[in-house]
Amino acid sequence: MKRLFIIFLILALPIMVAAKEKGHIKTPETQECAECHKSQAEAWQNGKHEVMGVKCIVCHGSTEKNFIAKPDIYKCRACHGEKVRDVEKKLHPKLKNCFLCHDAHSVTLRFHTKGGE
Amino acid sequence: MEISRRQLLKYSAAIAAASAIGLELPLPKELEAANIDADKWVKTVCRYCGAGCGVYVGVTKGKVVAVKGDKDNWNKGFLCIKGYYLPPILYAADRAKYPLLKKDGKFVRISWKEAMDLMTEKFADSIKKHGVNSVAFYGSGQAYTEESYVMNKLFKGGLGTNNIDGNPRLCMASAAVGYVSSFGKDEPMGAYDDIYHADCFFIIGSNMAECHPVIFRIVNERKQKNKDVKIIMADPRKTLSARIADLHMSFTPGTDLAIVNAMAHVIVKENLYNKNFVDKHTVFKKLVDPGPPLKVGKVSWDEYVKFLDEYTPEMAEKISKCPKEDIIKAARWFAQSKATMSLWTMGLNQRTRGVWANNLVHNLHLLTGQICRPGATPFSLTGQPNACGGVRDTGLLSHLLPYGRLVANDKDREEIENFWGVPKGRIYSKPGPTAVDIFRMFNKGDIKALWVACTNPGQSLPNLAPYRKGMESKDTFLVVSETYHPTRTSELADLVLPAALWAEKDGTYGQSERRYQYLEKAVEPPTEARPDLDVMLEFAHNLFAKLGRVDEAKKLFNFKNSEDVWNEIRQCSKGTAYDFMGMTRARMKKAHGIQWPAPTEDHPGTVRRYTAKYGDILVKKFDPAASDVSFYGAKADSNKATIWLRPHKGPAEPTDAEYPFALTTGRQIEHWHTGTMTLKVPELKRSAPNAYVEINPNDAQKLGIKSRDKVKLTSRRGSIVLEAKVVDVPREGLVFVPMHYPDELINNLTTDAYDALSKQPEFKICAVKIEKA
Repeated sequence: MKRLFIIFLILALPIMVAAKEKGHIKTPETQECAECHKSQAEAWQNGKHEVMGVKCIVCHGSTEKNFIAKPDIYKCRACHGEKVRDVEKKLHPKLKNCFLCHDAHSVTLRFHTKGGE
Repeated sequence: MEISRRQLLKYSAAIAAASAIGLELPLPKELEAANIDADKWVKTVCRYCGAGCGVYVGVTKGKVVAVKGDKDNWNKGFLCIKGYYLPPILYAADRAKYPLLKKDGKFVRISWKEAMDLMTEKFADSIKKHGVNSVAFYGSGQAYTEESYVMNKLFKGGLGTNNIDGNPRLCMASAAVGYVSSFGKDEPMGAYDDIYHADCFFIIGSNMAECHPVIFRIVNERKQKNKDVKIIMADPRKTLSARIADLHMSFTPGTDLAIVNAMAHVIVKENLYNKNFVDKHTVFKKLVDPGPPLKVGKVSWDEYVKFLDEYTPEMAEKISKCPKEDIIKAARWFAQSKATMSLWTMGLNQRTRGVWANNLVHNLHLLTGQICRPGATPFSLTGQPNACGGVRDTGLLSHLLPYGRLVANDKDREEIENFWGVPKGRIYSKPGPTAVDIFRMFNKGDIKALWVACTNPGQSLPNLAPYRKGMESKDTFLVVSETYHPTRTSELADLVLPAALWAEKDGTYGQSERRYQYLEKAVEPPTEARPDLDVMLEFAHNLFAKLGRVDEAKKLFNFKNSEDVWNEIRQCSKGTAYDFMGMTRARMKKAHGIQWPAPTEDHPGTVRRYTAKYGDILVKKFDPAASDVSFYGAKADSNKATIWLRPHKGPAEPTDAEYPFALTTGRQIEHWHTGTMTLKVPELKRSAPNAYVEINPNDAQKLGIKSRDKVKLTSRRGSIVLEAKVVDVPREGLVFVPMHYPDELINNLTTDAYDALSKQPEFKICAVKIEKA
């Protein structure tokens, strides 16, 4: 009985729906990301990645055909191999996204920046 | 995707609950990552800067598909955005595929046999008709150590000419001559490890955040973890690096010698120097006659103090416009911190007084005893991945022989002649022409055949236009070994040889902190591209056959592979201050770099030189009487370092009424050198697509210039039209242009005036005027 209840609970949990990946609009070659994406740029400005020169292109590619709106965990592996392996082992071997816990742009832990909800 | 804390907790609970009852909860498809793990990971080093980050490349089906930082190397797995995007450089559409010969202005494909036969004929003919000094080689701090060693042996030991130099002449020569003149031997005595121990950083002429980002990460982390750590940043630009500074010293470009002398003045007058260290470990010298021949003379402490008298903070402020309070503060922090580390790059080196600037920074460390212990060291940051290991140490520069030896020194020549097994007197005793002079001689036709490998002088030489004209001339023969075609150099060549790139060949790199590292071959080169070492050995044998010296070539160039060359190189270092006999190939394959000296296979490598207390085994060997510190490279001065009396001197081309702005060139984090690799990466190109001119807002307002306006910069040598970027980074009177762009040749404007001692050109300062285009 207990087992059935737990299975029900699991199946009843809301499934998160990710936004569909889409391409970037055409922009002039010299236009900077921050011109349109002010809030993301501001969040990034105050984070660890900014002072290390980890720019938008690292996670998102260019604005051409290799643009990625929502990068997956393997984007982080080049510098954070150990952490990626850790997430794979402890959370789920195929988990896609570091940004379940980390704010995408300021890269702090989400809970801390939002203070809860 | 946006998910709330509540959703995450629910999901995590679900996973936990599922595992508790032995159920594997499937992931929603949207959360699943495609595992792009590679078939194998090959240990290597980043292709780019002199930081020398350890890297693994992931290989699948014969292609490099991924990179990850080496967590067991000094960089702890971190990379900068250039290293992050390494794989695409191997697969650029304009890879040089076949040997190409220029016929009637057009490049036609020829076979390797035809290419090598032609090249051999041209060089041999020139040697027979005009002598060995009619041919030359221009190498690179990006070539492998084994490649540079073979070419050095061929030219100096085989042919008996010193017409061989490399592009580190344009970036590190002043630092090299600075170390030699201050300490007797080249190369930093400290290491990146010192960053973890320093309490004060004096960073001058370096935008580390963009030029050595992964090293900067350690400096920043040191500061973040220790709020008492002080960072002094001396730079006429308020760069990204300067944002973490506790003190940003801004000054008129080219006036920093006055500032550093003034810091020494404060240290002496306020009694902040370490008398015991100065007495025990230093001598004082000054230039008596610039010559030639150069004459220097020893002086006393009193004479040095008298020399410093005029360099008051007030005097330095008057010359430099740097507030005297900043100079005094910097001096006190430098002297009084528990451990002070200096870091610098091209702001000091690419100057007509580059050697003097280097000496003056060394002076501060010697005066205060801030040297040869953890956190206290003068550390020159190197630009290229193998300028240290392959060119400075291997002795490729036209005045050097391997491992601390000089062509002008009788004993050194004899030692190397014996080692190489060449006749006594073979090695020419007069230093050869340096980079700029090689191209001047090529222009005049004094050099008739020139081989350029792994570098891009058609974009990177200062005062570029006349040299490009010379390279294009039909009266001389130019061979260019390149990975890509066209580059701004290969387009001028008579013969282009397609070269394997980085992960397509194996060899050794030596980076800024004396760490030699092995780069394993990961994939095959494409089409007909070949490793430079193979081509160089084939050329050496062919050339000597043409000169009737087949047997000699068999003796000199008896190498089957790069490991054979490396074994000879190790032997050549044995017994010298570099001694890395212990770095066998087998060991290097396993290690994450080893710092020389490492004289035996069980020696772990040396983090700090010149100090017995902190592990330099060679102190006991070269200076058995020393209890701890010994500058054993300075035998002629009884193992003491030199404090130099270097007066302030400004740049070769100061600003004036006609050309009222100083132009300085430099880097952006996205790109490296002349952009031949990084501009092929779409992401890096999108982030930094073209050159611009950075203008101070006050200057821009006076000139009526806004960001994105087209602006014309003109120097005495050339002009360029660029988009303006009005930003509070350069100080008033200074403009900055990045150097990376092949279609915007800023070096048409820069000066080829060079340092009298190092022959390094003054890229960092020339005079320009600005007008709206």
